[in-house]
Order: sequence, then structure tokens, then C-alpha cells
Amino acid sequence: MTTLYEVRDRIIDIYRGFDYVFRPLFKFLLALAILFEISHNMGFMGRLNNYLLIMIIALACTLMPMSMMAAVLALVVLLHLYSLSMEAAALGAAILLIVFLIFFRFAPHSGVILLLMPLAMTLNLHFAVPLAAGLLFSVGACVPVALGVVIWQYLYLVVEHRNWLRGADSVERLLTNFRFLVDHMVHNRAMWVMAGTLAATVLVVYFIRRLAVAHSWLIASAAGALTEILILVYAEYHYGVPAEIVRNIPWILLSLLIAVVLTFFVFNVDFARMENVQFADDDYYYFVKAIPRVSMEAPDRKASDFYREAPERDLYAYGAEESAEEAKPAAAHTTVLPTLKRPAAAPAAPAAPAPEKAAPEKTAPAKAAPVTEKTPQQAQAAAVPEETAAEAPAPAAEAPAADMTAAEAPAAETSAAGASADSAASPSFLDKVRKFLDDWSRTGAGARTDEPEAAASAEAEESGEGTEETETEEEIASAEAAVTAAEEDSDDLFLPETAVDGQSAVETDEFSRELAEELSRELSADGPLDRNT
Amino acid sequence: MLKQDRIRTMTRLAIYEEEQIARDERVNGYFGNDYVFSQMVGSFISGTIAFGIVFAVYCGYHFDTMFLRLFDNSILDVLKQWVRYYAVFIIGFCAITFVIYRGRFRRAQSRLKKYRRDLEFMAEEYELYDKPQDNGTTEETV
Repeated sequence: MTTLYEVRDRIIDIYRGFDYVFRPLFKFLLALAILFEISHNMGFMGRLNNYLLIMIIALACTLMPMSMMAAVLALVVLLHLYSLSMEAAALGAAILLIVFLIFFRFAPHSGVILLLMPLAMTLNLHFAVPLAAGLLFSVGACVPVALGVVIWQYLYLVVEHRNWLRGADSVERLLTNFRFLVDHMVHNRAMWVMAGTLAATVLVVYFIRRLAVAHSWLIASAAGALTEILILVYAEYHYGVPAEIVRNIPWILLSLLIAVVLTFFVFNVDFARMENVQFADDDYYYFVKAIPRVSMEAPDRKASDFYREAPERDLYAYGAEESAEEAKPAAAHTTVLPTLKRPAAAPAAPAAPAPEKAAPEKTAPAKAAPVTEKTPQQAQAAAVPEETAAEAPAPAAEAPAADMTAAEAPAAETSAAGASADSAASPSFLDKVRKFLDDWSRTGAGARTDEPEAAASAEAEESGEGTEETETEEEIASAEAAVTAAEEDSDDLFLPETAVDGQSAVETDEFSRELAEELSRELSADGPLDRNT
Repeated sequence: MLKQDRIRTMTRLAIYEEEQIARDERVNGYFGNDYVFSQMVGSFISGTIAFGIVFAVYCGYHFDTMFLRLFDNSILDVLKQWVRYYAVFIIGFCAITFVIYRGRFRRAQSRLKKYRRDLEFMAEEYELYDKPQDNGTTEETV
């Protein structure tokens, strides 16, 4: 169904884009079809059967309004009739003149229906025209529909009796032919029944489709088709009119299908999303029923670039003054911003958010990164103002694997351990804690400062340069992975809030040691961990 | 910057100017009664011609009888009867014309009012958003 909607929208878009081509083309094809039909079925005047002349007339018709086009085609018909017999031409002229004088006075823009009717009757699709006219035109469309039936029946009558009408050489014969034609037209009950049926169908379809009910167009189409069947059945069985109902039912069903297709293209709304709205102003109360159109946009397949989208968020996060180019390298951090906004106890703190959370102010613990107006680099620099590298948690969190410095706070180790464990076989909580305690007791906080790289970075930070090393994409990705893993474990892991609050690393270290002891006591007792400890 | 309201209004205005404004302006050039009356006169003429055609067909069909009645002086009865038909037809035709064209006149006026309202809206929009800024530039909107 989605594909159908897309195809429909594509067709409508194409038509809208090239309507200046399609409209004249439609008129040209319509005029050409009618002229060929006239030439094929009547063709009494040999000169008018010339294909070149037909093409020229059809081309001229493209430049005319529909009513003028109908007049030109009527003139062609009259010329053919005149070549056959004067009485046929006279009666034809009388019918066409009455049509033009009376009907076109009120509805000159419904000429297309008048033109379509004879063509549709030739193709046995005349039941579709009133359905379409009722859906697309006003109530006045019932008149051209009925007149189209009359005109077509008259031409059919003339063609059927062309041998009888041809060569009237006396006034008596002429009058006889004239009476013959009039009699057949007036007493042709099948014609009047058909004209009445189609006119009634237009009215039924028109009034039902204007009702404020769901699926009104489909209901109107079905009701119109049913009206056609019922009137024809009634006329056949009650008045003995040869309506050929059995032969016509398949064509009526086909017409219904055409009306459904037309509805799909013209009036396709989503009744499931219908809304009834009530509101009022000083003068009125309004009861509004709003039904959205079904519009299925074709998928917009465009490649999106991570770094192209990132600067907006980055600008939002770190300050709008930066240019997009400056913000690009930090774009990866923006992806973990939601993580930063997690509650204070979130163990994700050591990773990317560390710079912001280590900000000097002791504000509310979870204040998502005082999403300051600093670049990540600035934030990192601010995070390690005076402490030693061994006590600074931020840089280690930025580079958990390659640049794993001794400055990593326990929380950072925990998150890294969580990340690696998660990537392996997701050990239980107790395993994680045991591993954490083992690592802690084996290395100790001070021992970690012995690593030369950590010391070097600590010296660099102490000298006030801050951590200005450029982050590669791999580092960013690994930091994200660690954050994600830590976030997943955030419900299980417990971290001291002081680490998040931005207390000094010394306090953090002492607290961590206390925590380790607390945890070992808990584990030895095999009792449940108290999260409030 | 694109403004959807303005684009919608401009589209509506363009469609109206393309298709209907000439007709509505022509209608609006009349007073209501004058317009309806002129159309009724036109309907009277075309109805008379159409009725004459029908009468001609009738005469052609009953050519023998009518010819005999011409000498019989009874053709006047036929004519009187047809005049009655004609009166009924033309009154009905003019009544239909009156109803239809009065409605058209009102609808044309309504469309023109809406058109002018849209124009005023556009003028206000331009005045609000496209007036020169302090630095001499204008905010470019569509």
C-alpha cells in the first residue's frame, strides 16, 4: 500500500509539474479520439476523413476552451450528417442548438462531460461518467450526462439507418425521414431510461459524497453503481425497457472500480486519524471535523554524515560562539551528552563527562555537565587545576585503553572493568567487585603514579598546559564504549557521590579506600550490599 | 526564511488570478440586480430561440396537419396553445436563470472579498517583516 501511495504521489507530482503539457495533451487526445470515432462510425463526408485534416482539427481544439471544442466537434458531426441527409442534419442541428443554447448558458465548463459521454458510450464505459461527474463536478453535471446520452443515441440511430435516410429525392420522403427520426428519438424509451438513470446517478453520488460521513466518496460511488443497477432492473422488469441489465452489470462494476481509482487519486484521506474539534468565538460555536490527507513521501535517501550533524549539538552544548569547524573534532562527545545527564550516582562519570563534573562548583550532583560553554579541551584543562596527575580522574577517563594513566580514579577503573567485562561474558556483580578490590589492593593509589606516562602527563597538567592532546576517533570511540558499558551497569555499581561532586581527588581516594574496606566486610559476611553505604 | 502562511496565501492568490479573477471582476462590474437582469435578458433570448427550434421541429413533424390548419383558420388555436407553453417555459427558464446568476454574483463577490483580504494580509506581512532594518537591510522572506 505504501508503494501505491508513493506511486500516486509521484504521478500527482509529475502532473503538477507538467500540467501545461498534460492539459493540452489531454484535450488533443480527446479531440483526436472523438474525431476518429466520428470518422470511423459515420464518415459520410469523405474530405473530413482525411487523417491530416483530423489532426489539424484536433490540434486546433487544443487551443480552445472545452465549450468551443464541443462546438467545433458538433460542426464536424453536422457536416457528416448533412452529407448523408438534410433531414438528419436538420434534426441534429436542432438538438445540438438546444443543447448549446440552454445548457451551455449555465454550465459552459461542463463541456468535457458532454464530450466524454459519446466516447464513453462507444467504449461501454458510460456508467463510469456519472460516477466521476458526481464525484468531481457539481449537481449540474446531471444535465450534460443526460444530453450526452441523447446525442449519442441520435447519432447511433442515424448510423444504424443510414441506408434508409440516404438519397431522399422528394419532399414527402424528406418529411417521412424526418418523422422517422423524431419518432425514434421521442419513443426511444431505452434512451430516456438510460439518460434518467445516469442523471439520477449523478445526483445520488453528488449528494452522498458531500455528506459528512467517513468514506463518503466510496459510499457515494457504491451507491451510484447500485442506483444504476436498481433503476435499470426496475425499468426492465416493470416497464419492459430493454436495459440489458445482465450485460451491463460487469460494466457497472468496472465503472465502480474506475470511481474507486479516481477517489484514490483525488480524495484520499486517512479516516483513522479523523479529529472532531469544537471551539467557539464571540459569534459562533464551531464543530469541525478534520481529516488528514494520506501523503506518503518517497523515502529521501541521502547520506548523513556524523560529523556534519554533530556541530549543531556541539554548539548547543559548548557554546554557540564556536565555529562549526572548531566544533568538529569534539563532535563525538555530543553523542554521550545524554549520558552526562544521568543522575549523579551514574558511574559513567569517569568517562566523557568527567571534565564537566569535575568543575569547581559544587552544584547539584547530576547537573548534566554544567554543560558549560567550554570546549571539551577547555573543560579538561579546568578539571585538573592543581591536583597531581595521579589524583586527576579526567584524562584517564578520556583515554581508557591506550593512555591509561595512573591518574585513573577508581571509578574510571570500575567503568573500564565494566566495559571489558561486558564485552566478554558479563560477569556477575560480585565478580566485578572482587576484581575491583583485587586491583585496588595489588596496585594501590600511590603505586599508579609510578608509571612514567602518567607522571609525564601529570607534570604537563601541573605546568598548566592541561590535557590538550588531540583525541583521535579511536579514543573517542573507546571512551564511548566504556561509557556505554558503564551506563548499562549503572544500576549495579555504586560509586561515591563525592567523586562526582567534584571533590578533590585526594578525598576521592580516601573515600574509595573506605569503600573498599566496607565492601570487603560486606562480602565476607556474604550479605547483600547496602546501596546507601 | 520561508514563511508557510505567506506561501500558501501567495499560491491561492496566484491560482485565483490565473483562473477566475477576470470573470469575477467582470461580474463585480455590475450592481447585483443589473447583472442578474442582464443575464435574464440573455436567457430570454436564448430560451426563445431554443423554444423556436422545438416549435420548428414540431411543425416539421406535423407539417401536413399544420398546413391544413393554415387554411382552416384553426392554426390560431395551436399557436395560442404553444404561446402558453412558451410562457411557462420562458418564465421557468428565467426563474432558473435568476437563482443561478444571483448565486454566482454573491459567490463572485465573496471570492473577491477573500482575495482582497489575502492581499491585505500579504501587505501586512511585507510591512512587518520586510521593512528596512536599522542597518538598511531587509529580512529576506518569501
